[in-house]
Amino acid sequence: MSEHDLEKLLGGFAADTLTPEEKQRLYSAALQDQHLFDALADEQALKELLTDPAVRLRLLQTLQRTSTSGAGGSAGWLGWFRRPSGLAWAGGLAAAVFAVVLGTKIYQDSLKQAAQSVATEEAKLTSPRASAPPASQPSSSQTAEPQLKSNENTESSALPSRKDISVEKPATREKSAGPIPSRQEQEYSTAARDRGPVKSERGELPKKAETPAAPLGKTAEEATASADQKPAASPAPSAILPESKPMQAPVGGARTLFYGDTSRTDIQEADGGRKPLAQSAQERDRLERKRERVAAATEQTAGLIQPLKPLGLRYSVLSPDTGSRDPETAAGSLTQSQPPRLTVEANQDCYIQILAEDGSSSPRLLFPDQQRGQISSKLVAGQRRSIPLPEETGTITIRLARTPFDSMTGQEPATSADSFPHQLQETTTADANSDSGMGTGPSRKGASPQQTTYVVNQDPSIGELSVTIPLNRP
Amino acid sequence: MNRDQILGTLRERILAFATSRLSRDHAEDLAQEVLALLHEKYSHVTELTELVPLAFQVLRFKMLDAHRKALRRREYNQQSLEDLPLADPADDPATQLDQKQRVDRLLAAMTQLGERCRELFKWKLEGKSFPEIQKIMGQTSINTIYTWDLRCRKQLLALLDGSWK
Repeated sequence: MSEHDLEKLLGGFAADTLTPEEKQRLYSAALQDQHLFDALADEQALKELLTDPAVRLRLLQTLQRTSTSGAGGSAGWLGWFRRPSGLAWAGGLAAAVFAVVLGTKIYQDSLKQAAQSVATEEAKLTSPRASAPPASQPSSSQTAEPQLKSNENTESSALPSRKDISVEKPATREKSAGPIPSRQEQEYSTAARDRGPVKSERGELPKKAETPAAPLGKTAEEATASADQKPAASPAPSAILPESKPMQAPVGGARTLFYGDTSRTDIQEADGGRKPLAQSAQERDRLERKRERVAAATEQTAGLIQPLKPLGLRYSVLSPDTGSRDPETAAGSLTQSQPPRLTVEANQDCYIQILAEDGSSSPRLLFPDQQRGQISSKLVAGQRRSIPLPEETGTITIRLARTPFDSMTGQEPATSADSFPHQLQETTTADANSDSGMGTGPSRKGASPQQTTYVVNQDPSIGELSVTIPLNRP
Repeated sequence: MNRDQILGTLRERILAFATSRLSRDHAEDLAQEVLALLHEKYSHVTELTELVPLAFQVLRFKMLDAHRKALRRREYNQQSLEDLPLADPADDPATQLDQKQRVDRLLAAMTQLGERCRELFKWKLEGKSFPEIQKIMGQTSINTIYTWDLRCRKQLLALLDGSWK
C-alpha cells in the first residue's frame, strides 16, 4: 500500500478499529511522512472525542435513528433513484411512455389525414361534376366529346368504360338510344337483374338524380341523336304522370329513396364519377378501403339516428308467358294476348288501393275486392303482392297510404300528381338490350325488358302516394 | 525499529508539527516535554503501534496545556493573574462546553451524510474493523472500503468546516 493509500487508514485510526497490521503500516508510514503524521495528529481530536463512551453512544443512536427514518421516507426512494439501476429503470420507463404517447398521436394523425384525404378526393370529384358546363351548349368540335362523355358518366348515360371500372356494378349499363324526356324525377337505367344486389343498383342510380334536369335531358338528346336505334313511338305520359310538375333536386334516385340507404350510394356515386377512364384497379382498391373506413367511422359516430323513411312503391307488370321465371314487364309494353299481372311492393307497412279506369267510366276499385267490403288492403313492407289485371283496363291508379283509406274517391287519381308534388319516379330495365324510357317504351324484338318502376314521395311527412299507370295496349 | 529510534523519529515529527501550529521556541519546548513524559512515565511502552498513538495523545494534551498557559499568562490579551479563578482538577466549563459543541456539530454533520457513510460510521463506532465492514457490505476488495471511508471522512470534515476541533 502506497503512502497515498495509507491515508485511507486514517478513518480507522480515529475510530480505533484498525487491525494490528494496519496500525503497524500506518504508524510506520507516519514516522516517515510528515504529512501523514500531521493528519494523524489532527485526527487525534476526533479520536479523543470518539473514545468517550457517552459520545460514542449518542452518535450511534443518532445514526440509527437517521437510518430508520430514511428507510421508510423519501430518502429511501431517492436512494433507489440515485442508483444506476434505478436510473436505468426510470429512464426506460420514461422512454416507453414517450414512445406510446408519440405513437398514439402519430396514429391518430394518420387516421385524420386519411379521412381528410378521402373527403378531399370526394369533394374534388363532386365539384367538377357539379360545375361542369351543361351539355346543352353546342359542341360541334372534337374537343367537346370528352366533356360530353363526362356528362354521360356523371348522369344517366352509360359508357362501356364505366362498366369496366365499376366493380360493384358489373352488369349495370345504360343506353341512351331512345329519346329520354327531360324530366328530373324520372330516370331510366338498365339493370342486369330485376332486384339484384341492392348495393350495386343503389350506387348506380342516385347520381342521375343529383344532376340538374335540363342538362340531363339535353345531354341525353344529343347523345341519342347519333344513335342508330330508333325507339318506337312512345306515348307522352306527361298528361298522366307527375313528371311535368316542378320538383326539387332530389338527393338520390327513387330507387335509392325506396330502399332508404343513401350513404353507400353517395360513396359509390363519387367512385363512379371519379376519373372513370384513367383510374387503375389499384387506386380503386385503395380508395375503396378508405371509403369503407370512413363509412364505418361515420356509422359509429352517427349512432342510432334513423330519419323518417319516405313512403315508396315498387311496381311492375308481369307477363307470364315469357318464361317460368315470371319476368316483369313494365306498363306500356304489353300485348293484347298477354294478360298481365301487377306486382307491387312497399318499403314500409302501408295500405294499398288500386283503381282501374277504362277511359269512359269512372274509376272502379280493382283491389281489394270490393265485394268483401274493403276499400284498402294492408301491404307489408318488403312483401310483393301480385294482382291480376283485367284485360279491358286502360289505366290503373295505385294509391298508398300509411293509414287505411276512408273512401274510394277521397282522392281523385287524376289529381294525384298535383297532390304529391314531391313524388319521385324512376324506372329500371333489367335487360341490357332494352331501351330506357319513362315506362312507355315498348320492348324491343327478341328482348324481354324487365322494367320496374319505383315511386317515392320525397317528403317523409306525407304518408300518401299515388301513381297512375297507363296500360298501353295496341 | 527499536524504541530509541522511534522516539528520535517522533521528536522530529512532533517538532515539525508543533512548529506549524506554534512558535519555534514553544514548539521545541513542546516536543521536549512530550518526549520527557514518554521516556519517564511510559518507559515500558516499546511497541510502535502503542508508542506512536501514545505520542499523539500526549502531544495533544501538551498543546492544550500550552494553550491554557498562554491564556493564563495573558499572552493573548494580557490580563492579570489575580483576576483568574483557581484551577479546578476536573474539566473546566470551557472545556466541557467546547466538547459539547464539538459533539453537537459532529452529530449534525453525521446526519447530513449519505446512507452508506452513515452505515460505515455506525459500524466503525460499533468497533468493527475494516475487514469486518468489508464482509458486512459484501465487498470483495477491502480497498473499496478504504476508499469509501476516506471519501466519507472528507465529506464529514467538510461539513465540520475542515477541522475536527
